[in-house]
Amino acid sequence: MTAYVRLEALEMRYPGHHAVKDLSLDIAAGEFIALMGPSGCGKSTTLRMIAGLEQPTGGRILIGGEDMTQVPPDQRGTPMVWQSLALFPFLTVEDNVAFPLKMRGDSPAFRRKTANEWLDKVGLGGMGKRNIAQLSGGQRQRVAIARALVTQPSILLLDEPLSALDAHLRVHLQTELSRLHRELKITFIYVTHSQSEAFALADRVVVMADGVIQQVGAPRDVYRAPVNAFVAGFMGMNTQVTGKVAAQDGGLSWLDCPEGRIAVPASAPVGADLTFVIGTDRIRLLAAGETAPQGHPSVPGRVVGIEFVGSTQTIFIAADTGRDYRLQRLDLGDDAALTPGAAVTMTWDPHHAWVLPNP
Amino acid sequence: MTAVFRNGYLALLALFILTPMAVIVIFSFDANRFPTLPWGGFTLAWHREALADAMIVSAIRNSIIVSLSTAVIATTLGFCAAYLDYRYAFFGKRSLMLVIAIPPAVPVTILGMAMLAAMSRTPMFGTPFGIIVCHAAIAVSFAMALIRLRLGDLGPDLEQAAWNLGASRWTGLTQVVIPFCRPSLIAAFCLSAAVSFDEFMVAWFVGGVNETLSVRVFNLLLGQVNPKINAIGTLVLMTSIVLVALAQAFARIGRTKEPNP
Amino acid sequence: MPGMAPIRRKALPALLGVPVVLWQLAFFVLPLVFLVVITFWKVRNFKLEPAFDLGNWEKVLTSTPFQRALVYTGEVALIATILSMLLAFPAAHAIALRLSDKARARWIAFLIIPVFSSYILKVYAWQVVLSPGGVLNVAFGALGLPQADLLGGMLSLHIGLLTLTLPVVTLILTFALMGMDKTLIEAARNLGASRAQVLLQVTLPAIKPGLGLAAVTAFLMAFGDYASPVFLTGSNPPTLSILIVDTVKSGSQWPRASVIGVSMLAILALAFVLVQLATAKREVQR
Repeated sequence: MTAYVRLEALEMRYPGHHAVKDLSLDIAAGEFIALMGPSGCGKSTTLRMIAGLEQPTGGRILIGGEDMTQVPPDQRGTPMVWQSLALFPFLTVEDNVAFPLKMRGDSPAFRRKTANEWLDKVGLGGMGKRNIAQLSGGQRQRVAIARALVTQPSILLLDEPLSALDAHLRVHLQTELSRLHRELKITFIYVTHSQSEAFALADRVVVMADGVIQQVGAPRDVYRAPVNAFVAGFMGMNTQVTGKVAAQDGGLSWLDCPEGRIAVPASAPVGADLTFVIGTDRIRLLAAGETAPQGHPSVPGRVVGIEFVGSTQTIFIAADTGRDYRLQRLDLGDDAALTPGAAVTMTWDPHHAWVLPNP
Repeated sequence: MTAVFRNGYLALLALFILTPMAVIVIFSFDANRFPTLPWGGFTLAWHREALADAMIVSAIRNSIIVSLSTAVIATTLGFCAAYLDYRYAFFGKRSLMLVIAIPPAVPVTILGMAMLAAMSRTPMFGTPFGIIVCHAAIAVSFAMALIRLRLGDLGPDLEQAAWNLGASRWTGLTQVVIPFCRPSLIAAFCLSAAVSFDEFMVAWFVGGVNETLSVRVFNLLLGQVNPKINAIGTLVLMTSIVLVALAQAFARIGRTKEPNP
Repeated sequence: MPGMAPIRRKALPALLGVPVVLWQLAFFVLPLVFLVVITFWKVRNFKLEPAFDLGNWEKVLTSTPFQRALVYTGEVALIATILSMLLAFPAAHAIALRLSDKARARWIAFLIIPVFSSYILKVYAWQVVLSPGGVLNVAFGALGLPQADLLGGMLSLHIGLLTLTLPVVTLILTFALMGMDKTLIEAARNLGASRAQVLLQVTLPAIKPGLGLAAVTAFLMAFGDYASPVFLTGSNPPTLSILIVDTVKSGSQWPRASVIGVSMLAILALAFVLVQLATAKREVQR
């Protein structure tokens, strides 16, 4: 992969806070990459350093092979879409979009023409003379995107651009961003705390915690094969079980853990400690009288509570070992017996468990 | 407190505030030489006489020059100080903000005496220019407060967005920060003008023979009862009220009409 | 190029900061410092001469007229402070906590106007109202009431001072009350406090810094005022401000006037610090 944007050992230290630690990352030209992680993980700081809005305390930023570390923000050509949108309230829609062209010194006629072309492209044709205050949230979002793209940059930075919108609009604009990325073929660097947004949009995701990159990879790979407990937890796999390998059987290792003897898809020497996680959508409840298939675990527990989100439900279960489990499934309408305190038994296919490489 | 008692009390407060202003305005149209009851009939004679008084006319001219110049300087310096306070952290910032904020809290007799003592050693003494520089040093406090309030609503993103989209620090300031602050700049201008227009002690001490309108009024008050006082007082009062009302209207525009998205 | 960035970054704040710093130093700080310096200078042949003479301080501070004026001015300012606080609080309470948002905004706008509009004219207007042949006495006469000598006493002086202080104090208290957490009042009522108990136990403690600021402001304005004592009591007895103006305008005793001015500033600073200490909010560490 040839890197278009290269971050080399980036450091950001504030007094009393080490926001970004020794961060290196290569981003290909035309790639859609998402930086994700909980708030305070350093993802926004990294984006702002790329834009030149924060001066790194160490390391280098290269764009198209050029060292940009000391270049002031107005000369970087790295337009950004803000969560707050940062539209200029005292300018019309058209003047907002034309702002970067004005800064560049283009003629008024060219500015007007180009700004309106971009307004057409984002579906706001004919709204150029309006005030920002007259637009809906979704329309403002489109103005912010048009304003960032009007100079035809080779990179677009997006800092949680959709988190202020309602769910419906968010999905709608996700589609729009995907389309723009396909058409423009430029590099999108997208910061979000939302796993679903990152997975829906990005070619690659970068999971960060405490200023350090935890894992980089295609969304599916990161979801199915998290490299450590943090990433697994961030992907929603909060239940992590550690045990000692007791036996080997083909591609499976049998672990001795509080839940009993459980098979996991790994080959490790007998006596080694392994930690595995299991996706919440991979766990299933045994029906009354049913026993787990041969070789599948059977973990008894009691229901703590159920949460419904649309057509799916999340069942919270406390295993008899005291460990908390969560399982997600379609709302099948058969949950009458799942009142808090009801005894249940969980099971899963051992091949769906994922053994963390570095526990 | 019951509603009746409450409204009655507020009405009394309003009456107390309005009475002196009303007295000035009403008696400026009274045909009697001495402002008292009974009403001597309506006349515009005192207004006409006041505007025919050469000293008053020259005082009006001085007041216009002094208050407009003060407003320009105080608004400019007030914006610089407000932006400095908003954007930067630097050594001595608290002290700087203090010397900007505190002048209106110093009694004008003392301030006037101090400024006179200093000014009398410069060629600015006895000129409108001397009054302007002193008034600006007082009014900048109000200008800064109004503009700083508006800058608080700017948020960090707007200016950074300008830089991000190709604006230098300076262009960001002129193309984004100043337009955003425009209502408060106008408000600061009006209020600074009102402060200067109204101030008489410093102007009296420093201005020498160049009387502003407030100084002229003060000198008239020191003399014999003169029906022109009410006429010219009405003009002074109305000017102040209009300037302060304008300042308030513009200060409000900034705060309610453009909520940050 | 890399070295350029920091320089450019400092150029703008310097450009913005230097003029305003110089302006306030030259036209505000310097005159006040000079005033302090003058207190040590000497007057010889009606001309000021640089010297280091503590005699001015000694003469002024030990002189009976100064001491009398000091006590009188302090008394007047203290009474004016108490009066304006007592009269402003019910109004501020009503405006901040009882009126609708719209009515409150109107009242605030209304109260700001008199702060910046011609105080001396208003003092003169009170003269017109209160003087022996004035509006009020004529009205009294028409109603068959006895004539009252309203001008020249404490009553007229404090009416004038209230014209100055009442709008400002009401505004400060209104803002203080608007800024307090209103759920505190509801919680206290809910927990069984009477209205009077809420006022004394909750509201007043909650706005303590605001009360302090309002009191200091009122004291400062009344203490330094010149117009009301001149026009409503005929400069009799003289206040410190009157002493200053008379001394300056007579032109000879600058150092002594400066001593009075600097003493006044010292007293005001002291009052400010004391009230700050008394009302400083002890924040609960979270």
